Amino acid sequence: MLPKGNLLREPRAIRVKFAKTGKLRYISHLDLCRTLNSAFLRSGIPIWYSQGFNPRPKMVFALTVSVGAESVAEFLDIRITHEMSESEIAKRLQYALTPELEILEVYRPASKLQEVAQSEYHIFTERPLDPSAVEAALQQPMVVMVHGKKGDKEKDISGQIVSVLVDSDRICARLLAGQGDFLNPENFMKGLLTSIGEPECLYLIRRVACYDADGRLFR
Amino acid sequence: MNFDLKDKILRSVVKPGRYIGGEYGEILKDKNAVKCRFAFAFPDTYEIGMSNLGVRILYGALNREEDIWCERCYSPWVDMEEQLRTHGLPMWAHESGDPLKEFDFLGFTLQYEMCYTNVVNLLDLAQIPLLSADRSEEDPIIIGGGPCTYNPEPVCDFFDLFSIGEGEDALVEICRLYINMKGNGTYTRKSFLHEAAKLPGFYVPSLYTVTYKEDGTIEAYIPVYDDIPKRITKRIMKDLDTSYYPEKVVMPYIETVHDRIMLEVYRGCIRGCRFCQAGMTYRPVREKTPEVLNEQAKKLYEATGYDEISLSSLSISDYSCLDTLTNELLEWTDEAKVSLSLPSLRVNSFTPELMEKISGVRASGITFAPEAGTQRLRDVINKNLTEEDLLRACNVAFDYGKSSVKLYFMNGLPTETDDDIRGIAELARSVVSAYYKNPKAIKNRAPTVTVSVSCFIPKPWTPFQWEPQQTMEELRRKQTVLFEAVSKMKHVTYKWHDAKTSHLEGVFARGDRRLSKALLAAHRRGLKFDSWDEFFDYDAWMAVFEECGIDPAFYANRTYSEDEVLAWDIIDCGVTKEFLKREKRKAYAEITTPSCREQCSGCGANKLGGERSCCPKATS
Repeated sequence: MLPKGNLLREPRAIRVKFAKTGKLRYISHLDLCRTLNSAFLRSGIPIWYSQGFNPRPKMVFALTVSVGAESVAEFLDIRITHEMSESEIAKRLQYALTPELEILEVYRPASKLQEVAQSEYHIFTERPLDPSAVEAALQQPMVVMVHGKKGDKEKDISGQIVSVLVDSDRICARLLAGQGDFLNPENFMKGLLTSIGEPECLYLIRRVACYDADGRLFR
Repeated sequence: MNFDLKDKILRSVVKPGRYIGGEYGEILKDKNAVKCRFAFAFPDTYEIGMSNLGVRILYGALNREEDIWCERCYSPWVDMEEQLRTHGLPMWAHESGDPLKEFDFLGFTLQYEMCYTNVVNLLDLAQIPLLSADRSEEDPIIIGGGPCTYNPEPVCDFFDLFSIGEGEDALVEICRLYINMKGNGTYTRKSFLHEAAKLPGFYVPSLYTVTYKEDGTIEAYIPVYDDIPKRITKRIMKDLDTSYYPEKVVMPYIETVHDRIMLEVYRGCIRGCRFCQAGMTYRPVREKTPEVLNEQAKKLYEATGYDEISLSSLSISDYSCLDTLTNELLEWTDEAKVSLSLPSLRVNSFTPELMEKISGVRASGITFAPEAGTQRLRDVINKNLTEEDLLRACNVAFDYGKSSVKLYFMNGLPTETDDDIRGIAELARSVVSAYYKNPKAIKNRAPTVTVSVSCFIPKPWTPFQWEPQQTMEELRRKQTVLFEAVSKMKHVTYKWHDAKTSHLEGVFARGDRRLSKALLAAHRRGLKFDSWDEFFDYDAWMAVFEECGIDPAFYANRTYSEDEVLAWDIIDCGVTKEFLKREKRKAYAEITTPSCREQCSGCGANKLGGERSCCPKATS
């Protein structure tokens, strides 16, 4: 219904970097997908549809944060069928969303989403943690119950922790976040808080950046 | 970092997305800049409430007014309720997060009788006095509306007033009255309710005294003031083309029951099935034009990005311009990959042409509602549908590769015999054999015919409003008769509704204001979510009635006299009692009544007016 730009010879890959903060942290990945699906449709962005019996706007996400966590580093790949500038896409998409789903950047990607291997989290705790206690806990194996496809099992997660820095009520943690080797920051916090004897301490997780296997900022 | 209480609570409940608000399309205003704050409550879960078209319309209609701010609220799920009670936190409205008790109005939409305990519970969670009589000047005005308010009596102790009929204009008017009285200093709760009772379509139950006869039936409704009406005539929107219709939707983050565009095509129904309350109370029929509908559909698509449009009405195939409308919609929906769905199709309209147009093609099944198993009984209930019609429609579906058919029926209908019940099984058998006889039906795939049977509940404002609901024992016996008849049939599945829920619904449907006492007692016992199987507790309800000295059979299972004053006589919904009596007699004589389009049956609703209706103009 909306006038479209010129048809592209090949659908063009477009990456959207966005933030989900505030109330949006209570929204699951599936619900986020539905939200973005309708947002693309109402935005008039010429998104490419999956082919087949039941075509849907095709969206591919980098590993997303779990319910309860915020993120200022979410990545979504789409393709467009007709010419539209990246800035126009960003503008239209933001217009079709609430401010708590903020479009940070729209660009043509030079990397693959699968290259994400680590994530940096800022975790805000209810009260400041004792840095020396955290330091001591990180020297030990950290065994937590992990949900898996084959049920719950105990696992030592210490090998999946890249680096941790405690600054008053903020923990900066870089954890493995590859498709094959992923540490859920919730499990990290469970393990850490149990180790330092503060299992009831409330916290808020915010993903701030993603990195590749060589530790280079992912974009 | 500080974590506030609400945040802590949201972390501990399932589906916190139900309570956070903040959806795309929600309307935010400056609370200090508006003159009237209205909280619109849906007394069931967020997922159900967000799917309700009436709420969508009225939310938009109120917010269109600059100085009125309407927000939303839903029944919290039990885990959230526990948290609210533990922490003493009052229930809040979605948009602002402010407690409901700070609002000027708290409005409830009453969609089904089984939500009544949720209304009381929500008042309690909002920390608002439950009874109208106990409220002070500081409390919000509690207002009710929706289909159940065609007999609002069972809940009237909890409400300050009711809006009867369609609310688009009425709710704005009541807010205006409030704003004016606050502005000129004449507002007190008492003076406001008195003035409200003079506005067309508003019923203030506390301003009517009810007296009873010795046999327990109602003697009279007596207005407390001389200047308020003796009966409250429902409001209608006369011209639906020009009447407000929302062109935006609040887009839920979490999945809801009807997550799609709902395009309301017309109001009312030309059919007059004798068991159907909606078919009577929404009269007269008023249609929108295809041009207006197509424009609204386009705007809604652009504003929502939904990929499905559901054409909404009581019986979509009776829309006089259905062909034009679907053609105009298909001109753009196909390309936009938007599918059309047409619920409420009648079998006689189910044609190959229509089948081509609807998205239902993707699904493997199709649903029809013959309602009764024999022609005799279908004539009694005025369901103008023959076995031939049904089989023809099923064959169209089979031609298009469908193999499953769902058939809706009722048991416990007036004059019903066991032969009528067995007729349901026979009809299902005919559908199965039609499938095997159809050369185009998919080979090597067996048909599935699902027979779904609910219990008939006599409803106010229908020709069957004087009929007794059959006892649970009899309803269950009939369920067994049908079970025996279908149990040996291949490819037929039988589903039935629990008679206990239907019985309670039967009590409240025709109840009077003495039932408010039972609702209060039920609330004190913790009863809520009665429409949810996991919470419905029949035995607890019976104990409540016993404790209150109320005989549920008096309301549900009694044959009402045509001369007695009915609880809902205080309302005038357009159709006359004479018409309903006439229809009742025709039912017993097994005579059908033609649709409004074929011939006017003189129901009386034309006195309300209405554009693009098929009614003769009233002479008054």
